[in-house]
Amino acid sequence: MIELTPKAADKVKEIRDAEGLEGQGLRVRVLGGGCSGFSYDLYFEDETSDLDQLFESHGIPIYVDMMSYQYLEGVEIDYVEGLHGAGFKFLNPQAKSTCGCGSSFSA
Amino acid sequence: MDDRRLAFLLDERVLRVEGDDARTWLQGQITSDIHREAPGTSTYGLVLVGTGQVLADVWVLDLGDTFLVRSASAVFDELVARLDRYVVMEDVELEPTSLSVVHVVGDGLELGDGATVTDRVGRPGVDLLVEDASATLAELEAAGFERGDEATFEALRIAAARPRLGRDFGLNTLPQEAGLVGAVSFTKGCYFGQEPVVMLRDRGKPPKRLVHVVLEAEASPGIAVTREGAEVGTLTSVAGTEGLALVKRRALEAGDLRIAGVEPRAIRVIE
Repeated sequence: MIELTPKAADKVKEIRDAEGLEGQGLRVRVLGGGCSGFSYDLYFEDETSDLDQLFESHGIPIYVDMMSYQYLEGVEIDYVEGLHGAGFKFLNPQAKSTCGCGSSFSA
Repeated sequence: MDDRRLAFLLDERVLRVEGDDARTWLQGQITSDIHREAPGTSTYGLVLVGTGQVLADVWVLDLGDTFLVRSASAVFDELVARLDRYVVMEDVELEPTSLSVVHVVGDGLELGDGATVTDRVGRPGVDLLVEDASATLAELEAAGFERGDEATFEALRIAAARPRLGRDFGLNTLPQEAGLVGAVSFTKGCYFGQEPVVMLRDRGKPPKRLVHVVLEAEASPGIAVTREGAEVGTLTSVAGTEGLALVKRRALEAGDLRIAGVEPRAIRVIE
């Protein structure tokens, strides 16, 4: 299961509507790279494949490929704003550690 | 200056990395910046563990869509396993090849297919990535290149203060400790193991330093470097009366070091 916090869902809807991407889902991926080995990737997409796990959170469809899902099961995606910037933050129970900026993790 | 024309068969293996995402993915795995170099060039870099020490050093030949990554045979399988772990859904294929690496130094070389400029022993040289090393070495000998043995390679690279994986650096050293800052880009963005390396640059000093030493007499690798009777380091490589040693920085700054009980004639930190 992957979930968005209400704040993250609102931000996703805001960006989606601003970019004219109504009806598209949120693709969540894990990539090799970043300071701690793995990094997160988010973008809008309207296509899914047989290899995808499909979820929905606060009305946002979420697509995750099976390879990425092994590192993402149980993740909660939040949206945070602070003096140092704003962005989506992944709360990943599988991450053993994260890098300083939080965009990369080890598993 | 040694100007012999020499050909060395290196104890290295070659990994082919290809796929649509190969360039950006590989950029996130090594310390050097492969985006800055033109196709056809080789870049020296390091693959680090999460705490910043060196798993392997690599020469990466950029062939545009494909990269040929050379690394010491002793760590090759571990390197491939490590890299493979970080291919998730990217379009990246890792394929160990049967290529051999012949390193050539001296005048009279022409760069053909599979040849790429490198600098392994402190002299301009070329790596030849070949299927049949014996045939290549025979051709080079016929063209007047002398077959260089391990002792010759060691003498050249130690005189040029070039550290070698497994002897002078490895899982016990951070890049800055081993004189490998030149293999690290501090502007390229994230790569695995980056944080400790950048923190050390910004907040601290390397606990150890690799130094080039000139000895009074020949010695063996593994001998302790001492200061006031206490062990403060180790001689890691030796060729004749030149060597490399890994020494605690504070002892180095305090001076008065001894190797095999004798003060070295010269000590120079490898930056």
